[in-house]
Amino acid sequence: MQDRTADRKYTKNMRVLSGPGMVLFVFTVSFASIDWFMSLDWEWSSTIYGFIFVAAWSLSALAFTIAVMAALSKQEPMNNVVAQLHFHDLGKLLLALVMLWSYFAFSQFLIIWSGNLARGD
Amino acid sequence: MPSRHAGSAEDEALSLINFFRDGLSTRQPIEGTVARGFLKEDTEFFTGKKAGKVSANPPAVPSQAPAGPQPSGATAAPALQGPAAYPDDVEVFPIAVTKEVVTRGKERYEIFCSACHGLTGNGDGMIVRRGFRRAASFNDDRLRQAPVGHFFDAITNGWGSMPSYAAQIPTEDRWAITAYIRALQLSQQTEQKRSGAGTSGRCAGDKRRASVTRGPYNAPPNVNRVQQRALIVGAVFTVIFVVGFFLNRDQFFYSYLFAFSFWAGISIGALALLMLQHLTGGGWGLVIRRVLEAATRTLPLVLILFVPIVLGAHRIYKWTDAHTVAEHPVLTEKSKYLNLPFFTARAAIYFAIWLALALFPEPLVALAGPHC
Repeated sequence: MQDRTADRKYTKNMRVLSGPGMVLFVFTVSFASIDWFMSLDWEWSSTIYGFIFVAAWSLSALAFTIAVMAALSKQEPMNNVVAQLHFHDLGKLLLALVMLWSYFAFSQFLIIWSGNLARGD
Repeated sequence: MPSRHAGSAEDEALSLINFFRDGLSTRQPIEGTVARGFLKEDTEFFTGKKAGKVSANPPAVPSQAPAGPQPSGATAAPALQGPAAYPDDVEVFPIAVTKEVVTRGKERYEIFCSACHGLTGNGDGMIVRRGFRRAASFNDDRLRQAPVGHFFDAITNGWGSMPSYAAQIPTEDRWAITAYIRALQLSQQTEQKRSGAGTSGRCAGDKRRASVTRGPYNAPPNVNRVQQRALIVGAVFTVIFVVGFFLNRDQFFYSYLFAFSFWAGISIGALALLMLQHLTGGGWGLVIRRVLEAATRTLPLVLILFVPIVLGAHRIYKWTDAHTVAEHPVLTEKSKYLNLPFFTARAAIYFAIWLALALFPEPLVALAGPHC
């Protein structure tokens, strides 16, 4: 739509929507991951499970997008738009998401690991 | 003798003295000489006026009185446009306009001019936004057609409520700023032509956007080739998929769920990145935004792909089995939440929210109420 009209109204509207949208998104993805994947083992539970999925799905989407951009950026017309600089930025964001995901995943792992330790008493 | 501060040494230089015959304490330059740095031979360079239109030395009296009315008002020669409105001003740069000059001009412009004229030259600088009188916009027709000498003259001698900047900005830099103003006008002109009147000036500073040529995006030809290959790979795996369905149905649905989480993650995650980009802005997202938007457009497909999970739920999830639920008290309690109808209803809500965010953002914004 914006490509056709170049109306900045859309940019503003999207920003207004994105705030509440992000909150809704985290909630829905958390519950979806609990329903669809955590419930596979009904005896097991993890409170950070939803966040792992929020991070992991964003991460896979970004990785996929970067791969698509890398393929498109070699040809017209994208090679006029995409610069080395953008890939540097995307790479940094990818690293940030990887670290976020590993932080969540390790948090879960650490608690399970410590819970499995033999008791000293 | 004029009144003077008692014992003030500074006044001595200007005081009456009887040593010289003319009574001046400082000497005048010898007739026919020019002090170093004050030779302003190149009239066009130093005044922005056509040679012959001004007396060379001393500098010209400004043709427009600095304290005069705001030129954008209707009083200032409304009928005349372009060079005709400023017949005395030079129309070509008296310096070579190189990239270095424009870069220098940009730097100086942002230091001295942007506070009032704004970073894009729309006359909406920070001071104007805080209530100061609106500065002239370089992007209206009057200034777009004005000769370069006019800008130089305005910087040198002031214009309307704008003071003279001759003392702060050296001559060379005044021309550099003029060159940058021309660049700004070019960049904003394309923007206005495309978006129509009235929408400019909201988003200052993003000049790069204006220079990107637009047009219907045609995918490069090898995308078709990729598509064909993907179709072949897809067909092959569909065959394996169907074989798996008949060989080991439990494992089939379990694996299906795993694959679903991978592919659904890409389009659902794209939605998150898209919203993140809208919230934070930044060049990185501008480049990948259309790809992300395309990815979120596959969400209806993800919804369809979810149907087999509901159909095969009794093979994937142990909590769907009434027998197992009855055996375990914990699971009996959990069945208030973990039961197939509620599971399906919840999934429907998730998809409704995702699809609404991805496909119908405009009505959602309208629902949120008036703003802007």
